[in-house]
Amino acid sequence: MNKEERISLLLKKMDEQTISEAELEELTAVLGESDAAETLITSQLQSGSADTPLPSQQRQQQMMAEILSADRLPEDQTTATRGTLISLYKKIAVAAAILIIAGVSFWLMRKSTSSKNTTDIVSVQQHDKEPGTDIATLTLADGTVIPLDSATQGKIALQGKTAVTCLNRGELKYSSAGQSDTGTYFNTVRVPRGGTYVLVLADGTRVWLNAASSLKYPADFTGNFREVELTGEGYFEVTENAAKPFMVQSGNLKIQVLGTSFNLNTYEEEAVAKASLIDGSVKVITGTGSAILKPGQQASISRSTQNISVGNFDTEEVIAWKNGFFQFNKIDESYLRQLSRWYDVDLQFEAPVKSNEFNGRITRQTKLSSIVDAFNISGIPCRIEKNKLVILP
Amino acid sequence: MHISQPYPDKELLLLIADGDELAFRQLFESYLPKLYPLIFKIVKQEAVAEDIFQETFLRLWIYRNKLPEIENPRAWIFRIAYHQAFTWLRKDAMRHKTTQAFGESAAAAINAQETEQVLSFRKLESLVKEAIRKMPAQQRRVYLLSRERGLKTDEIAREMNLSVQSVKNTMVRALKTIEGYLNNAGVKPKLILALMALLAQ
Repeated sequence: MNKEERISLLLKKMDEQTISEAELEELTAVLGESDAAETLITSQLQSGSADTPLPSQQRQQQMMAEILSADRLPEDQTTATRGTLISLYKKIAVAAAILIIAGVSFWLMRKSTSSKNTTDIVSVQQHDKEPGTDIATLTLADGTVIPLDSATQGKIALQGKTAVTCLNRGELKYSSAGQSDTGTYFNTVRVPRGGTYVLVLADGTRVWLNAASSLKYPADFTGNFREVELTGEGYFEVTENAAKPFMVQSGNLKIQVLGTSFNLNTYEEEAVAKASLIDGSVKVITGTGSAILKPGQQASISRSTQNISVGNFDTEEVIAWKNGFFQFNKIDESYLRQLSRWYDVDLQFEAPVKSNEFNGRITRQTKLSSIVDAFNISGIPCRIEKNKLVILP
Repeated sequence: MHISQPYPDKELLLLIADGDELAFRQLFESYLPKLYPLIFKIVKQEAVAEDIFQETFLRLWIYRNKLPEIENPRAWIFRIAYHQAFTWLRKDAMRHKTTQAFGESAAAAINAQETEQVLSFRKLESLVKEAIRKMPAQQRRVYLLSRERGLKTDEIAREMNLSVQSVKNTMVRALKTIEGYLNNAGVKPKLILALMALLAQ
């Protein structure tokens, strides 16, 4: 028996499901020998396989989407790398402490020298950055990714009995399409740096998503709870429905809501997550405890210890982003990170930022150069370099 | 691309090597009707055939920068797919044996344990993600800028203030990192190792 006949026999036995493990191994070995073996196997398999039904178009799209997302990192990385994240926050805390000490001594040393270099910095704005826009991507339950930008409009998808409509001005709306499908379809909206987006969920709840944030939610709320998952920052106006509590999950943090408006800031690069209640009532739950907030109260949740501390907050300041403004009461790194996310620039500290008094309200439609000019005039030297905002000594 | 064409276009492979998702999608779509029925003929289960097809293309994507050097890419792709299908059949036969010897419950327990191995695409996917998480920070950043934000080499260079050449080198190293990680995890079948060794010569 020559090789061709042998392969033919083995494939026949395989087709009849009488092939032994040893014979399968033999076939695998033959395959490894040369491309010629592959040609033989292919031509054998081709006979009688012409009318095999292929996966549906939708399934093919999903398969492709899964392959292309395999070498990206999921949004919910926090769950996968929580251990390292916590230690990262410890490092950040230590680094921040060192920066503060360095900052103070730096300031003491500098007191005697004159700040002569601020004026010549103002004129060096060669690079500029446009403000962010209404952009995001929507990932449907089957893995299809739809870019949401000014070009996307109208009804863009059907998820079970829920229609997904893209409205003017960066808004995505879920509404009943009256069909009888009761399956649960999870969708995710991801907003990149330099973006923002508004969602109207199936229950009428409105969610404003800030730059570098995402929300995962079911197209329709079919269970006993309305559960969504947030990364980054979102402002929620939750439709009241006492029978179906609204829950926001972000890493270890859980917010349970009846009907209310609140802002939730959970950016991973910030040392504390902040839940700020505008009105209504929410319960903040972490791995170690919980707290109920009254309107005007803000819960700060430490990333390292998960401890919750409750205090008051400046409403204007916290929800300024949602209304299209930056509101600064003083400039610190956290504010600079807001700029980083909105203008899609990285921060580079050539000196610790001087935590200066800087009261101001600036529209988020401003170009970065104008803000930088304002900072320079106020004694916070900085400049834009390509895709960086550099804080100068 | 036409089915009669023996090899995919060199040009298409060059685009894919450069990380072009559209070109890759084109290859996927043109190979599905050719290759999927053959995998199905081997494994005789839709879900398994889909998984193997998917895994084959994920491998291809991970080895994308080597594609233009492969002499007969079509044969290479088919061999990977057959190899996976034969391996699955062997594991399936082992499961049957277990069922006969120890009854359903034992087989179910082994099945549960092996789900990860049976669903080869998922396993490969999680290894790829793990590899990316373990990349040095700069490498990971370059890689993800390309993959998540779809930036081109020159755009990444500008974004990160690096030279185009150093971005190119970093991308090559990033793909090597993933490949190396998969090798260490032992998921690369001997066949592919052999094919890779041939390429390296």
